[in-house]
Amino acid sequence: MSAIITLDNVYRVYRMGHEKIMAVNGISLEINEGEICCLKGPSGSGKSTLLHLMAGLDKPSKGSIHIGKTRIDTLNENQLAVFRQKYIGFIFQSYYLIPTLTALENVAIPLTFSGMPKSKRIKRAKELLEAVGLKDRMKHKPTEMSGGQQQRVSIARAFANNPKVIFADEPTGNLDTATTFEMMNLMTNLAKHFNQTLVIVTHDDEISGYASRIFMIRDGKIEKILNGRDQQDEKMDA
Amino acid sequence: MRLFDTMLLSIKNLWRRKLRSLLTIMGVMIGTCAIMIMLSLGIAMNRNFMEQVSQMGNIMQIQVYNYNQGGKTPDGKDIPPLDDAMVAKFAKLDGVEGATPIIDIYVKMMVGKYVGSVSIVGMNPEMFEMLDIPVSTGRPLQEGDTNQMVIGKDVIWNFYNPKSFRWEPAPQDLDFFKEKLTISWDMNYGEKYQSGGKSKNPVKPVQVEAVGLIEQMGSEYSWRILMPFETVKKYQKEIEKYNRQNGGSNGGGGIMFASPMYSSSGNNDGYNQVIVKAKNIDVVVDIMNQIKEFGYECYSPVQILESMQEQSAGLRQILLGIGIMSFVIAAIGIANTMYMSIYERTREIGIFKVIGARLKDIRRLFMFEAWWIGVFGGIMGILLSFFLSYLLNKFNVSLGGSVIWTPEGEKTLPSSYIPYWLPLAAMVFAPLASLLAGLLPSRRAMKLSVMKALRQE
Repeated sequence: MSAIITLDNVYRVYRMGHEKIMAVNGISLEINEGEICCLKGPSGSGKSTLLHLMAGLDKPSKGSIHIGKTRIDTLNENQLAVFRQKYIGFIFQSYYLIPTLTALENVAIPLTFSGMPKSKRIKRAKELLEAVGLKDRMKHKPTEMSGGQQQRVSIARAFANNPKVIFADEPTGNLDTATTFEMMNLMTNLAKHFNQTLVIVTHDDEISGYASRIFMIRDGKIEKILNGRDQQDEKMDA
Repeated sequence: MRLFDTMLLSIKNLWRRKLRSLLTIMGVMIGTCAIMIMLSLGIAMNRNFMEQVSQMGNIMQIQVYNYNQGGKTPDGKDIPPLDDAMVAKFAKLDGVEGATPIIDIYVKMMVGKYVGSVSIVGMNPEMFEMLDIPVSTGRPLQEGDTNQMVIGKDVIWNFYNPKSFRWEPAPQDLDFFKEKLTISWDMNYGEKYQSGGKSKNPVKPVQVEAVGLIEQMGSEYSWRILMPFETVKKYQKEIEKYNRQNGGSNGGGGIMFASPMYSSSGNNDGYNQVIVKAKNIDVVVDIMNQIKEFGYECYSPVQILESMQEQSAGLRQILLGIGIMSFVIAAIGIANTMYMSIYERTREIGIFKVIGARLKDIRRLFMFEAWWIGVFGGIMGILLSFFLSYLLNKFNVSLGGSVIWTPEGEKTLPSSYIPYWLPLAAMVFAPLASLLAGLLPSRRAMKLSVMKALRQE
């Protein structure tokens, strides 16, 4: 298996007044194509910062980040935009849908940015909404949908451009347990189906079960790496 | 992102904030309307000046006089005679359509039983067209005419019945075509009382014939009679001969003579007056300056027009200034609205960036919003301007004398006039100025940091 995400000795330092905060403190890791993995840790551990760095939303203070063969920490904002358009999908904790657009339009928005003609992108968005089980909610605005439904729309949106990597930042943080499992099943099934890589930030134990590897983050460092089975074992031990 | 999609999405964004967008659009509408109305007032003012001045005579015409005959120009050169060669020189100047000498004689005339003093202008038939002389009844002079004349309607005011004991002016409907017309160089001709006694060498009256009438009131020709140039030249010679035979010039022996007007004598020093016609109004002043260099006096109604326009230029600039100021306020409104909306939509802009919007897309999205505000505001402003212009004209809200007299009677000049190019210019200007106002806010939106935008709740 080839690595799709490679981090080499990455640092991210914030300055707060005179204090330096090492949000990411020398992390190197590789994530393979088609892998589903978790970044897990307590709040303030730097896991979200790490995700943002991998997605090119933030720049490392030191070190290099490759996605595929592209080194993304040196791209400018325009190149990054195009790169995200083609290779990266996003799922957020609070969905981040555009409140004035319908479910269909929300899913079609990334396709609009990549310049797909209207008829094609509507067709694609419809297919995706069907795949996430929202066939009868296409014309609904986000405010007319439940949290689970909104997250389904945001999942459909993340998959719209058929990206190589999908980043999910606490995707189930706002959902109840039943919906959490539904959402995780949906995401992992879609990702597996299209051989996409899924990187999930969470502190939810239930989610860990879906991952092949779990990176335990603490104080900006990888504390340990568990594979899915280890996690299960740990639980049983406890 | 496709251009069409960007335009559509930006309209959608405006529609989201209907009230605010509408208010901003109304700002642009009022700004556009202010500029248009202020301009239309200025334009109407200028047009009205033009119309008023046109009433004073043809504005394309320049009257050239040689008052300083035989004198010197300010820089010491001899003033050349205003003769046929000079007239030909005028005709060759840039922008000149034609030039013609004018001779003018003052004679006694009888129309039926009525007598009066009239001035007769000599003019070649082709000049009728060039000088736009409005012959309303009958025909203009034509080639081959000799003792034919075209008569200005107001000439009738000069005639009265000499036989009557009471003052009896000639009736206004006196028919020049039917009555017998005669002219004489003897100023006692037809009069009951022969002042200064009979002339020593009486002259036979000349019979003439009316072929056309100039009925336009206020025209410079309505007080004159026009006859062929050669005929008048011949008359002029005879007048001079008659005057010599009867003892010198006017009033010498108490006898009144007809006289060639303006002309001091029949020498060969050329004409006293030449009319030069310009091809268009813009070159009139230029031609006048060239003619003045020869040392002649020039006169044209354009001078009056220019001084009127100069005097009103300040007023027009103030008007335009008010218009521009209201548009600047509208532009500030646009910028304000856009900053507001960017502030509100910070997170949305962040999301857009995360899911693949390029910087260019974000900027365009907001530029288009500004542009649409300009387009809608511009269209509404143009409609409002036409409506206001209509009201201004209907209720005759005026900035100056606005009633003139024309052959058709009293005419009210418009106080506001919107030429065809004005709405077109507004349609270009309003969106362009709005784009300018949207430039900084759009840059701000483009430069928003994704991380900060997403963190904002």
